[in-house]
Amino acid sequence: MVENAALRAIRLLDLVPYIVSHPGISIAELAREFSISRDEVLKDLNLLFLCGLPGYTPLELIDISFDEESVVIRDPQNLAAPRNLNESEALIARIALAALEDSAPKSSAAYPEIVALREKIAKAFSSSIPASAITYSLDKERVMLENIEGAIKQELDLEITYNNVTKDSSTRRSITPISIIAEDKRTLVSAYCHSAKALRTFNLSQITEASTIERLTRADLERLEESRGSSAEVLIKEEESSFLLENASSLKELSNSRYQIDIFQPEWIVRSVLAGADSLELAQPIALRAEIAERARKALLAYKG
Amino acid sequence: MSSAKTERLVNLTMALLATSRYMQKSEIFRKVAGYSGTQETKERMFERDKDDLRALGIEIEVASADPLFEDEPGYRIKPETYQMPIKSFTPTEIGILSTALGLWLDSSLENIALGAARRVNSTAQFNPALEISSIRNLNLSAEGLLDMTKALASRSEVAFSYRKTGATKSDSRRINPLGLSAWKGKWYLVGEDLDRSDIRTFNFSRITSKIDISKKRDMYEIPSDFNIKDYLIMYNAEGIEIKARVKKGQAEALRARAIEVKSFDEEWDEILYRSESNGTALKEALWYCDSLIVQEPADLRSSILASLEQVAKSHG
Repeated sequence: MVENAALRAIRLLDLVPYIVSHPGISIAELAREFSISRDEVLKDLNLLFLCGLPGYTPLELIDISFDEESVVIRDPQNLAAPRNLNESEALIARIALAALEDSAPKSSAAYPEIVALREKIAKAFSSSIPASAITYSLDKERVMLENIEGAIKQELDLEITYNNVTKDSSTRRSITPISIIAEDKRTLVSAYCHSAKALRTFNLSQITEASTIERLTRADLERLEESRGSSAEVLIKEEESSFLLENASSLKELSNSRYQIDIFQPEWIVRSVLAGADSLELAQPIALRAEIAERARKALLAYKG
Repeated sequence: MSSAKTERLVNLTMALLATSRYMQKSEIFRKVAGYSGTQETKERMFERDKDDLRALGIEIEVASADPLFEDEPGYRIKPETYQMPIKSFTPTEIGILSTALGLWLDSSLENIALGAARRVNSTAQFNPALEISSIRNLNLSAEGLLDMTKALASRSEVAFSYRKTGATKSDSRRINPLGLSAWKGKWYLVGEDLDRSDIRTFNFSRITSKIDISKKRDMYEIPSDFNIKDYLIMYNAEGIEIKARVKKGQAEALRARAIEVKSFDEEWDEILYRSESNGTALKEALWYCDSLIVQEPADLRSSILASLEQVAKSHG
């Protein structure tokens, strides 16, 4: 473990270039920037007075002058340039740059700069970790997602602007969001569309705007409504079930392979269990179990018909 | 807190940074302020100082001071490794780097990031304003990430308990970390499993113990052509083309990425689309249930039928 004295030495080494680049900075500002107390800043500055290059005559010492309002370094000796990033720092900078690259719109002016900088940093620091060892893929529509999740939990409807890529058009619709389906490369919002009077799936990335409104009524979904806000029990029969991976945070393990999950939208659990095929079985509630069996039989008929 | 030691470490760093040739210990003891006592005391002081500086990421080079006689080693800190290569970055790049480091605020890596950002911001000029509205809410951090970045940065072996999906018990793993990946808010480690002699992927959320990081550094090398995406299933699904009938007005998301959609009859459209894999295609088809009837490929169609039979049976 590194001793306090060593950590303080590092702080002293970093104080010098910081003050050089911020001449006239106040003691209070330095304290805030370095997350230390005013007294500690004063002690550090007084110690820097004594440091310098071999010889240690006034010509070789760090020349610093300060009062409460202003700190100035007249001669930093050989400490004017900031210390390099170490490998941990370079690594977390690279992770953050990967996240920035993934979140910045490709059309933004900063985007190509971020991409180039990521490569440059990987080469400049910590070159023992290749650039391709770090990836970051984030939910780009996270804010939108939280908005929609909020609507689902508060049982509100949404008025959305939806860009239809196929039709190359943009429409306003009111929807009752039912569930959010996170797939590998995109996120879908399953909803009852009041404009189309039918269940629809919206690609989250194509929803450009969403505002919450009071819930409208949906006659054709009412028979599932009783299960809203209750909890379901699911049997997960496969270790690598994607349902398990995607819903890890909301699943509560009851016993081996038996899980409990709160359902805000019955339609979501019905479809999820169908999509899970032989890896999933809904044990409770019974009404939804029957609904799943019914839909599977309907689909079988459609396939055979 | 010993001010004397702090002062000595600063003086040692400055002296080793200033010298253009390697300084031998005897010269260091003679010239650098702060070394006193018996020869043995000074030696011990110096060894500790050297270790402390190295642990903080300052590289101290060791070489023979006199190339003709390999007697006593000499030491120096090269300015090009000590100093941030500021001149090779534009003010805009420094601004971006600073913004990136700021993403770690309020995370377990905040302190490391703040230290780095402070120095990045110690450069003469930078453009601080990089406005990307979507970056405010990035939640980069996860439990274990601090340990994993440390281990990866120093190429040190890690040990932890890991509970495989569906397994009831954890087993212990010894891993050489090779890379890190965040996928929609979850972190994954790809590393060489030393007991299984294979490269494996680990989901952070299934690590059930504290992560032990070996104190040794550079225990292994990461191949320069290592690409983490080769080991992550999310990046490796091969695509298949699917022909299906879809109910009019349904499966908007499929329609949005379709290669072709044409009307079949009053009730149905015919759609051609791609999926990443048979597994994904199966899930999609089952999700849409009776709104989507897959025609081709035949093996996908028969797995859908088999799955529907199975679901009907297990829930009936």
